[in-house]
Formats: sequence, C-alpha cells, structure tokens
Amino acid sequence: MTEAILPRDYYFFGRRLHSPFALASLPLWPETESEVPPEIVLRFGDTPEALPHSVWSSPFIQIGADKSALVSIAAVARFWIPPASENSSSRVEIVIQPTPGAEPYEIETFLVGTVAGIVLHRLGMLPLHASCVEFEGRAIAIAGSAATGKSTLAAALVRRGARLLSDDLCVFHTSNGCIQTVTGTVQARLWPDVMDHLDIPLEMRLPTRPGHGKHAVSLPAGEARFWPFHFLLGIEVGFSSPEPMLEPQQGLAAFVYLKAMVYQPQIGHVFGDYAREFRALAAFAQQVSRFSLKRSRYLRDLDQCVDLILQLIQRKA
Amino acid sequence: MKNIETEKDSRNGAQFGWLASYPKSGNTWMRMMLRSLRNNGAPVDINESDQQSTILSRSDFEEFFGAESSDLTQNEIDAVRPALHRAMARASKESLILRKVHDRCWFTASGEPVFPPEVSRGAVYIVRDPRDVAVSAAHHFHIDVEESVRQMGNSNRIIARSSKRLETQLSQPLGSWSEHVVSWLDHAVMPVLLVRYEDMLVDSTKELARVVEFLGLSRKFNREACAIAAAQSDFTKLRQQEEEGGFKEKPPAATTLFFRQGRSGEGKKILPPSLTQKIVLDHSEAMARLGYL
Repeated sequence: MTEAILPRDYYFFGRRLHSPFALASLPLWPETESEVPPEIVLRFGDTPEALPHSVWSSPFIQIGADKSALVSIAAVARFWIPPASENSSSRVEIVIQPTPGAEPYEIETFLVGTVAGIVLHRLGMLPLHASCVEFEGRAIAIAGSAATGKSTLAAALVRRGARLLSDDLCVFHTSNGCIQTVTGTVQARLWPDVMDHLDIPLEMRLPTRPGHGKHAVSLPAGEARFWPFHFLLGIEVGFSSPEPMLEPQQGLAAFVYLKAMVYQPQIGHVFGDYAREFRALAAFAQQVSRFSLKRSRYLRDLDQCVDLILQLIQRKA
Repeated sequence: MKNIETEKDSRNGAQFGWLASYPKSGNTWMRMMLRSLRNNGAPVDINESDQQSTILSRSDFEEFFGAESSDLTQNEIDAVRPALHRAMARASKESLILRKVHDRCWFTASGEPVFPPEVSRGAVYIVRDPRDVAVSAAHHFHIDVEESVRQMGNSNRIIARSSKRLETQLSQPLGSWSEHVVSWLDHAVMPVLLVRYEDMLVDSTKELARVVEFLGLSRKFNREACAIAAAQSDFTKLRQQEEEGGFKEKPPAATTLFFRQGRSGEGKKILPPSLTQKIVLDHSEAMARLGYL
C-alpha cells in the first residue's frame, strides 16, 4: 500500500460496506440511510496463510467447513473472510493482508471480482455471472461465460443511453412477488480493443493490475437502489452465422441456462443449499423474460447487437 | 466431445488423451472422427456443442478454480496450468478425457510439466508437411504465405495471448514448427502416438484404429466401427456442412472455408522457391525425421 486513504461507506449490492480505503468501483452509501449499520466490513490485518480444514480449494481460494474463506493472490494480497459469528450471521468481515508493494487498485480489482462473489454467496445472494444496465427504469442483465463480452455489451448499451448497474456480477431477489436486481458497481472492466471501439478517452482508463490489458472505466451509472427486471440476455458466442440473432429462451432450457450462469457455483454449493438455489432460479426463470443473443466472438457485430437489443426494448415497452 | 468410456484402467482417476498438433495439421478432422465414433457412427455435426474436446478456455479455468481469470496475469495463469489439468481429471466421471491442444509440450517456470504425466494416458501427436501447413495457415489466419512461413519459424510464437483483447482460450505457447514437433516427440513425459496427416488422407480408418488402440478404446470400438466413423467424417462431408451452415470454430479473418482442400502436396506446388527453401532451412531436421524430405 502506498498511502492511507479516508475510510468510506459504500453501496455493495444493497448492503452497506465499510472500507478503510477508497473504492472507485462502488457507489457511496446514501446519506439518507445513515442509520443502517454496515454488513460488510473491510479492514487491514493479519490473515492465515492457509485454512486448516478446507472443504473446497483451488490454487487461489480455500473455503472452510466453518464457511470461512481465504483468497490468495501472491502478488497482491490475501483476503480472509472469517467464519460468521453466531449472533451476527448476516455480517461479513473481510481482512486484507496486502503484499508489500501492491497498489490499492489491485486490491480493489479482486475485492469487486473474485472476493465479491464469495461474499455474495456467503450472504445467500446467489450471484449470476452477468453485467447489468438500466434503461428507462428497468434492468437488463447480460449473462455469459468468461470472455463472451458481457462488460463490452453493457458499455456499448451505456453509450446508447443505458446506465450501468453492475459489471460481471448481478444479484436478484424477490420483493412483493417481483424479481428485482440491485446496483452493484459503477465501473466496467474493459480491454483496449473495446475501449478503442467505444472511443473511451485514455484518461478514463484506470489500471486493474500494473501492465495488465484490462482497465476499469467509470460509466454513467444508475443510482444505488433496487430495480425491476426488463429481461435477461444470455450471450452465446462462436455462432456460425454472420449476423447476430436474438431468440426467446423458454422452459427448461431457460432454467438450465440460468443454472449454468451462477457465478462460482462450486463455492455457492459449499455455502448454500441446492433447494434454495433451485427455488430462486425457478422463480427467476418463471418471471423474467429471457433471450439468447447469438453472436460472433468479435467486435464487428457489436453495434448490430446493440441495435437488436434496443429494438427489443422498444417492442417490449 | 463427451468423454468416451474405456476399458477399466489400472490407474486411479480419469486420464487425458491429448490430441496435440501444430495448428492446421488435421486435429479437427481427427476430433470429428472420434466424435462420430462416440456417437456410434452417426453423421458428424461440425457445430455440435463440444466443450470438452476443444481447447482449454477461460471458462474451464474459472469453473475449476473459482477465480476471475481476466484479473490474473499470464504468469499467474501459466503457473497453475498443471493444477488445472489435475483438477479436471479429479472431477471427471469418465476414465478418459479427450482434449485438443495446440500448445507445444511445455513446462512451467518452476519446471513442472503442464501436461502432468500422472493424469495423462498419452498424446496423439498429429503432424503435417510444414509446406502444406504454411499454405493452410495463411488462409486460416488471413495472412500472406511469407508471414505464415515466418511465424512457423518463430521460437516465441504464442497464440491466444494478447494485452489488447480478452481471449476466450487460454494462451498456447507453440514455439516454431520444429520445436513443436520435438517437444511432443522427445520431451513429453507420457506415451506419444505419431499420426501423419498424409497417412490419414491415404487411409483414415487405419489411422483412427491406431488412435483407438493407443487410447485403450479398441475393445469398445472395433475396426468396423472405425471405418464407419471415418466414412461419416469424410473431408468432403465436413466441407459440405460448412458450406451449408458455416463452422463456428472458423476465425473471422479467414476468407476461405475451414475445411478448405484437405489435400497434401499443395505447398510444394504453390509456394515460391524462396519460401520452400526457408521452410526446409528452418525445419530440415524435423522434416527429414518425419519423412517430408
């Protein structure tokens, strides 16, 4: 860490997050809700090198039987999420032990990505691998596997009048029988080819890692609140047709697709329970319209994709 | 490709059968034959969703490791490639996992084999006359043949690695064409079966049967099954499908069909003498070894 920065409270998918350093990715917590206590608390401190009894592990992540978690990125930091205490199971603490020389923006890169997914699972919020934008007051989720262009399409829609609600992670919940999403991040993570294509000025391109191609770009964002869904788009790339296509997705196929779009599903299964996930996805599949966007893997059809989506919005308005 | 059940293996856990080759050497054709075999000799759908036998992707990485791959540096990803293969083998319900690779047979910075022998049944290494590879790759990547020949001589060649865009596949170090050949034939820490593209053209059933035998599948798939699968994957049929419905694995830059000619000897006929000489100069040892000189 190079310097200490003023502590702030942020809006993290509807939860209040307290951080000891500034986070450019998240909207500030609304002053009107200052009485709400933080549910996610970040602090710097010592972390274990490994969890003694992990029930799931990879070279970067360990999940403990007690629902603790450890994310280890050797060049950046270790992020330790201790087990929940019995009297405050909805509160999550994240202890960060930075690697000497690591920059705050590198720590933030993992906080709002890999670590955020684990936190959302731990809070029972079932994150989808999707970016989300708001258009005329309703949310459009853009789901897809890694490197299918979720952030790219979200940023392209923002350029055509939408506002960003979240990048790469999207949560949903039911309120009064209505499926809603909630604002998560105000930055999209983009690569130079996309930033060039969208004419994003160099001064807006903030690094995520030193020398790394991926950059964080602050985009016009929706205010920090819950939003009703308009529809969900599932991106399917590598399509052999030269023209992108939108097709309605229905029935079991929609449910199976949604299930495949759960972010870090292996970790979710350690934390959560299958029955709850099944109920949540079934409700989502039942209530939110879904479409497959079949497109190439390349930027040449990006503007056509945006046109198709805007036409769909008009039709469904 | 769905994994193929094999005779019970004496070792524990799943093992990979690597389908390895330098690009444009016949790997996809072999995959299609094995796909038909798996489907009991059914016609091949070249655009069938075939996640498991395709090149490792970022989705594979994230599925098994839970970390956002695009936030990691290339060195961080490279270092855990062996662990990824071991994790995939542990998670597989099948005894054999077929997987296409264009990587040379390489080692991590700490000296660990990227294709770990303990989870590798072996590698089928498909090789093709480099003069024909040069012509085919020029069409595939929409570059001129001079550039294609230059790339084949580049020891530092890596595909699917870019700081400008997010690649779907994990990056694949190739090295030069010769280095690629030598890496698999001499340095792989697993059994390797050499298959020449030219021999596939002469008798695809025979070559498929060799692969089947090597991978331990011969009790399940006899010679007749191989003949049917080879016939269903005949090059003209694959080409016809691509003409009618496209091929999703074809790169956008390609101006010709992926299944373009499927012949041998094109390079000798159309390459200018200077480029033929350069290929021979760059790769004479490996070419002589493989019967191409």
